[in-house]
Amino acid sequence: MDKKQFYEAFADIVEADPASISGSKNLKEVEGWDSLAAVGFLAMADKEFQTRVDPSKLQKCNTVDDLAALFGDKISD
Amino acid sequence: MQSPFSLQGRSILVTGASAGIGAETAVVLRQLGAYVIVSGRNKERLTETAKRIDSTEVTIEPFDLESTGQIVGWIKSLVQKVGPLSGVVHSAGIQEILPLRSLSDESLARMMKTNFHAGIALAKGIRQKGCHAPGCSIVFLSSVMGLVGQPGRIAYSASKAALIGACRSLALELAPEDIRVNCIAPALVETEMSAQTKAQLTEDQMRQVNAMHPLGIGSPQDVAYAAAYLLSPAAKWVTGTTLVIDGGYTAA
Repeated sequence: MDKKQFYEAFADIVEADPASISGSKNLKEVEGWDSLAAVGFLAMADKEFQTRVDPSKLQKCNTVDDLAALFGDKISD
Repeated sequence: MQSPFSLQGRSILVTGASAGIGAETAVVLRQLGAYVIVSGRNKERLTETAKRIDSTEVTIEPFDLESTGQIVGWIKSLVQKVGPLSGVVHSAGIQEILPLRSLSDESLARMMKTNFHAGIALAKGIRQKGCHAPGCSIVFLSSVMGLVGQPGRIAYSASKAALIGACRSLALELAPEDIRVNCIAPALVETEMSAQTKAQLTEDQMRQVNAMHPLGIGSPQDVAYAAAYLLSPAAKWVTGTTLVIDGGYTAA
């Protein structure tokens, strides 16, 4: 998956317009980013990236790019 | 005089016996004198469970309950090996936390298949002529999530509530055949499955969950004892009901 696709997948989870999601966007400013979205995100991580993300790492993420960074090189630029 | 809680002379099938509640139930049933058939998908782990039990009084029977269409035939062939069953504990199940927006048809179907459809198929299997002994008892592991809800548990709740609903009709239908059917509804129990779920929660969320259990988180043994009771002669007047074993969770 590339970054653009990741932003789209993220927009899908938070039910936001993909155009409003950029890498530098602060998660606190994303309206749909709540605890349920986080659960959906963890499920996506498992399904799409076969990665178990530690919820505490998730909590430390501030921006959308921080979330992308959780998957390292599984997300190409 | 034999204790009404004794399971001496009874052959009981336990699904999901590779780990958690199923494994502990198999151990407890044996302690009460039952002949136990331990089933699950993982033969190695079933062997581990069998090791904890006196090995002459246990049969290891690997089977993937996802093949729901084959369960009835499987029970028949199992009975040919071990004789009529006095009970079955359906402890095999899966859990997933998925919010509605992420809940696919496929996830929902998968949960229903293993948790619910398999339970019905087991009942159908054990009901066959020659497959059940007198005083047969079917126990489904439901969950408090089948009685109360929680965000992210739509599919899981549905599958566990389905067991509770089906159990009532099953009990009425099978009563004339001397087969009792009941559910157990545990709250959070310390198992591998719940550890996986816990891994998806933050420390705060975990604290909240713990706070909802007045008597703390349960152990697999707490649930195993409930199964033992329902399978025993002591419960001969109990059918079509759900035994809530939850440390006070649903009292709130």
